[in-house]
Amino acid sequence: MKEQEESEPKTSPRELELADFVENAVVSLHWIGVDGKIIWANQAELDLLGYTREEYIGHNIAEFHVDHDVIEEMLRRLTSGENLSNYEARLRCKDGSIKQVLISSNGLFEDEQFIHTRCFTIDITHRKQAEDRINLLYLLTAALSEALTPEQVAKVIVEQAIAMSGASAGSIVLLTPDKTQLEILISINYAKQLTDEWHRFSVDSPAPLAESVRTEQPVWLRNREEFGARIPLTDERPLKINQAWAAIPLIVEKRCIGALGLSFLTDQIFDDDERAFIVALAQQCAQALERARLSEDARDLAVSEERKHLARDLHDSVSQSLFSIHVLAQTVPRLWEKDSQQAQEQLKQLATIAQAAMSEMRTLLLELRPSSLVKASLQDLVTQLITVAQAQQAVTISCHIELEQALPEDVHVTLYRIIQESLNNLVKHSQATQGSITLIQEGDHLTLRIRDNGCGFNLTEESAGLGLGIMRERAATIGAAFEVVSKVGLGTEIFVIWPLPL
Amino acid sequence: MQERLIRVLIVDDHPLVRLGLTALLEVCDDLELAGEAKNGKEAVELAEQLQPDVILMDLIMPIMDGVTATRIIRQKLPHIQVVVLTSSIDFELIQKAQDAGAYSYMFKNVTIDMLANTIRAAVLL
Repeated sequence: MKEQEESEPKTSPRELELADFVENAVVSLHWIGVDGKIIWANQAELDLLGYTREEYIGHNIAEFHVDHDVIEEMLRRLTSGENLSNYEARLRCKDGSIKQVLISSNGLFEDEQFIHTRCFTIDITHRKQAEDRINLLYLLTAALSEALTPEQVAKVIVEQAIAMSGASAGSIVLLTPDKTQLEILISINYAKQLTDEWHRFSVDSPAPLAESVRTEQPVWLRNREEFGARIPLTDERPLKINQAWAAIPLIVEKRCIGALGLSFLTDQIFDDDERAFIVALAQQCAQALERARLSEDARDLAVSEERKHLARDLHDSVSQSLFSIHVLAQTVPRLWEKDSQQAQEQLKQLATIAQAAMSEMRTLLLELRPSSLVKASLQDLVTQLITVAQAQQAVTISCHIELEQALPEDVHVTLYRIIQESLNNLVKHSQATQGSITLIQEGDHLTLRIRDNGCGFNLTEESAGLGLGIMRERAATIGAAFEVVSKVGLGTEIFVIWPLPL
Repeated sequence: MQERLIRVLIVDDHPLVRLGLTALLEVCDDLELAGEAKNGKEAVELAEQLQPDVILMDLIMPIMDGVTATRIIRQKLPHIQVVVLTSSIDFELIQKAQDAGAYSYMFKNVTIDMLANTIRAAVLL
């Protein structure tokens, strides 16, 4: 016995230890032969992928790689003597799932002949997923910053949620203002018939989305059984479209505004990581939707303010001129019978008022298109204002503008506004018969001077309501000095002095 | 014997409107311009001073609006009738003017015949 034992190759305790070490190590190990077949794999590797020893060993390694070009390249490099360190690859498990792995390997050579590889495989599926998800949340934040409307926000979120979670379809529903119904804001990859049917549904409906809104808690339905147990099914609603469901309430400042829903074609596990990710996505979604809604409200408010302003301007100007034209035109035939000379004068006056009304209209259109205001010359703009003023008041206004260089936009617009306001005052309050506007360059500054020979006013008492404060503020924004000289009975003079840039 | 002319005070902040209304009064032989006011405050002062029969009153004006002026005038000088002439489409405002004692109201698209007839009807009251 003893001799027999001695004649056989002896396995030393050291070798046994080593065999145990590789066989039972927690790191996955395998060898691949020259023909690409797996010669040996340890238990950790079999556990990682879920195969039995028979299902794995003796098979070509390429059968288990998702990307054939990757394994071909790895084998080419290993057989040519290269060492591979942390080479990324994707392996297919027995249950069909895919593992992201890092493979480090080198070849065993004998007499320059390749014998087999020595491969160490590390599973990085979770790490990779976490990384991808963090990247996605960053990308999402960037995409959301460009999404302006609730619809744009919803589209970005649902598309990304589908891409990252592996869902087959997704939707976002929002609570109606009375909080009794849910309305689809966006739905991606669902059949039209289904979205039409569920376009608007009660919060009390037997549906995952409705339940998540009612309870303000996520609803995770991992398979048909869980779905069927929770949601009563009818024959008209076969479950062929999805196997699993996730419905997450969208909550903003403790207020539920709707829900994000995802449908899956295969059973899902919804592990802690996945749940946390989908909930984080829903939170981002809720906040982005709220932001978009607030900015929409602000835009609506701005538009409504602008309309009010325009309505007031129309009321103050064009509609009054048109009324005047309307009355004067009706009086002409009767006046003609009484005094044809005067009637002819009135017709001339009508033409002047009509021209002024057109100038008023043009001035209003300029307010609607500020870019035109910037492009028009100050000379043209001021002439237009003078036409309107002269039609409204028996006043003659001269204008002298001499500019040696184009003005910066803000200066151009500010000077226009100050002239506009001054002429408004002249017509409404001054009773002037003469006026003048000069804008000239004097040395290192530009001087705007607006004069009239009207009633003037007491600067300390009566200047309220003349908009002098606003004119002064306007002048200050371009760094110009503003001065008003006026006395009761002695007319008014306004100076704006703008220092030319050096 | 010719009847006394109906004296009308025009109140409007817009000079062109005053111009048109003045022209209207000129072609109507039984109507006469008593004066012009640019705002409610002037209207109250001129009403007292000129004692017109009818005031044509705009509603939206600076310094004092037409509703306030109508209320003061109708309280102080109930024999003077106020006819509102406005381009406003704010019916609440128009109701306020009527509550303040305006005889009638017209919009600034009225024909001159209608306007003249309303002034004539107001003095018959």
